[in-house]
Amino acid sequence: MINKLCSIFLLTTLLSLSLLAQANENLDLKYKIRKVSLILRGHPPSSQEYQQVDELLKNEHSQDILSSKIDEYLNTIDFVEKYSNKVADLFKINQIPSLQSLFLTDADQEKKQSIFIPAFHLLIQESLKNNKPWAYLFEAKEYTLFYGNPYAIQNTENSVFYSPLDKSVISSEVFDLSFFNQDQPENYTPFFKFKKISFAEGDVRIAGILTTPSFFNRFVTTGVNKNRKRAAALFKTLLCKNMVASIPVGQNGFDPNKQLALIGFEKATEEDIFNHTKMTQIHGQQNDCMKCHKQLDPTGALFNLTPQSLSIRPSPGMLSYVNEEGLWIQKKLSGIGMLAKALSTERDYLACQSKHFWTWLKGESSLLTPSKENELVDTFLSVNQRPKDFIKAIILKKDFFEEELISSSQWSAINALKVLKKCQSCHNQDSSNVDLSDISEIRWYNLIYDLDFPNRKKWTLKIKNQIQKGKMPPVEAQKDFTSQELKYLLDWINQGSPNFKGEKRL
Amino acid sequence: MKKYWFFIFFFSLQSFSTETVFRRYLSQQDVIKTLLSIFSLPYQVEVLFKEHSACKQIPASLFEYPQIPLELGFVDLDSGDTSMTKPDSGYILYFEKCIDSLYLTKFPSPYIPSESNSAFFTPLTLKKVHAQAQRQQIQDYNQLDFSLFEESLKLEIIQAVFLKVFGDTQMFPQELFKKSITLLTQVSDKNRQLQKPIFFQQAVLLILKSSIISEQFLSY
Repeated sequence: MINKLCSIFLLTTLLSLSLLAQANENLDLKYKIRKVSLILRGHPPSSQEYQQVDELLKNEHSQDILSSKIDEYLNTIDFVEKYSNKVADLFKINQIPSLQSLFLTDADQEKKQSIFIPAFHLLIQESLKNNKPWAYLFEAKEYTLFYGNPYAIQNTENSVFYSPLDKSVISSEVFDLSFFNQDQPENYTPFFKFKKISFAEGDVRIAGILTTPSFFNRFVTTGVNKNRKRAAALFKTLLCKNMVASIPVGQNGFDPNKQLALIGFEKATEEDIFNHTKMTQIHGQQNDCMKCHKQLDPTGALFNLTPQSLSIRPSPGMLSYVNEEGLWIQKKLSGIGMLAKALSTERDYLACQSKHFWTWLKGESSLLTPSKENELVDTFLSVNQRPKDFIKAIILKKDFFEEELISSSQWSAINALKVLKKCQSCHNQDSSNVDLSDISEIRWYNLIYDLDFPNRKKWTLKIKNQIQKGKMPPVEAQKDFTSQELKYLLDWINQGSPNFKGEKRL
Repeated sequence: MKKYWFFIFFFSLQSFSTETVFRRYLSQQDVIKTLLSIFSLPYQVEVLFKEHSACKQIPASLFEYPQIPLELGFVDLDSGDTSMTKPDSGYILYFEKCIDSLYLTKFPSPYIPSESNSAFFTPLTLKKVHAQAQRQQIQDYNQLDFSLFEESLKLEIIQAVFLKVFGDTQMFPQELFKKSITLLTQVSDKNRQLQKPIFFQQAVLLILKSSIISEQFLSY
């Protein structure tokens, strides 16, 4: 009798434990799916989806269900829209109107006429649809051009931009909307017209999204900037290198350039113009300034002859930059189209592009240690840079859903890192500015990571001292720092300058 | 009423003050999508895109209007879609106003439920509310005195709203669920002292806000 009771008790316990485990597995999977849905689609799953998960769990493993859910989300129109806007964000190019608007019914004729989708976004969407390698975005020789309503006034942006290369178009085809493979709503008749144009594979004048009206119009070239804006945008997005204008300021913090910008040329005095010219000359002579110019100018040269539309002739230039290891990389090129190929093997480029995905999926403040970064680059290469595969691989990594417990010390290190990155734009090893030379040896990266960094205590206290006395940031750089950011830096120092693990040694 | 949201939200944040669980919060564009899916409204709802609407969306040409995210309380926005890492009062206020506005779109006054606008409640629950309306002899459901509802119906309505917000009963944050019931009771008691009824509309809105404006819902 006792044995029987014990068996029943044991069975009941096992059963309830297994039910509890089942319930936990269900809940865990649902939390994961919610997170993935929010990241990839921008909204949580519906009630029906949760019910479907319950059903699927009866026969399938949770990891398989998660995997197929990721595939499902990667093929939604919400994801296409998000992805397209994410790439636009990298270049600070305007986002698209909701793609749902393409499916407006016949009753919305007026609204339809105001819709325009730039070639930039259509290329991103096309490359995603076919899961083309990430580099395709900068190498593509094919464009889908949006012609909107054939009866409305045409947007001439595309025709003006590509017209110099009309003779080089090897194929051209007009088609209706069938682009997103989405079920068309009722009461819908094809309304928008698209045209696909293709250039030869080896056409060095064409470089995917870099040779679209959106990119050219966002980074306008002038007689003064001489395509440096375009080059700086490439450095920022493709190599994660910030190029910050460094304009020397005269004694007593007086900035004649700023003064001139504020009052405008028509009201400028002779002295203002004299000062401006003088400062510009100084700018051109200083090594500190030339550090950026040596990188920006040859890369910008690739865009020569292309003020508003593409040029018939490719322009010679060079990919020229100092990489993370401090090596001077110089690759002679002709035409923007060669740029992507030149970059594709660069370690800095691969790390930077992988980081874009990481930031998107994990969040801006998520910690990416050097070893994790290497692992990420390996994964990026192993999936041949295909975005859908890379996203899926990151999400399916075993630690993706683990909560990142961050102590206040770690938070302060993360916040300090962002601020020190800004400092680094002037305080760097290449700086020859005498005022900066004393702390030019600090590498922000190492100062936070490396507790054994030589004279670590001295440097952190010096930074604190300079901020508290109002000497840093200097007058001309104050606009780049908020008071909150300076507080972050002081907090980090006051907490004993912990590293990203929260460890201190002072 | 506003102080409640700040209290609830920051109370739930307090537990993370010493050791923070790194969380992300819904970005501005995702907020719009998410709220629309809760309210079962089509994505292109005119009212949302009007400049002075409470649910104002950051325009696509964001880089020309960098001040807008700040106005809306989305402090960490570099771009239109970056998730924020630390909510502030502006962020919470945005939800408050936007939920009010969406509620009015979904439950206009006079509110007489039909198939198209009854997305929050099952036909069975609505039948019970209908019985209440007949008992109270009131046609506009928003004007029903919620405190006169049976306790079981009150709970059913709270559960229905939570289900709409969290999508699945397993996903209910139990602590928040209990807190919302307590909050509703407190408001109801206070109103009784003031000899004011708590209307059905107020009750639903209160539960909606307490479930949406929460760490559990906004973070992921």
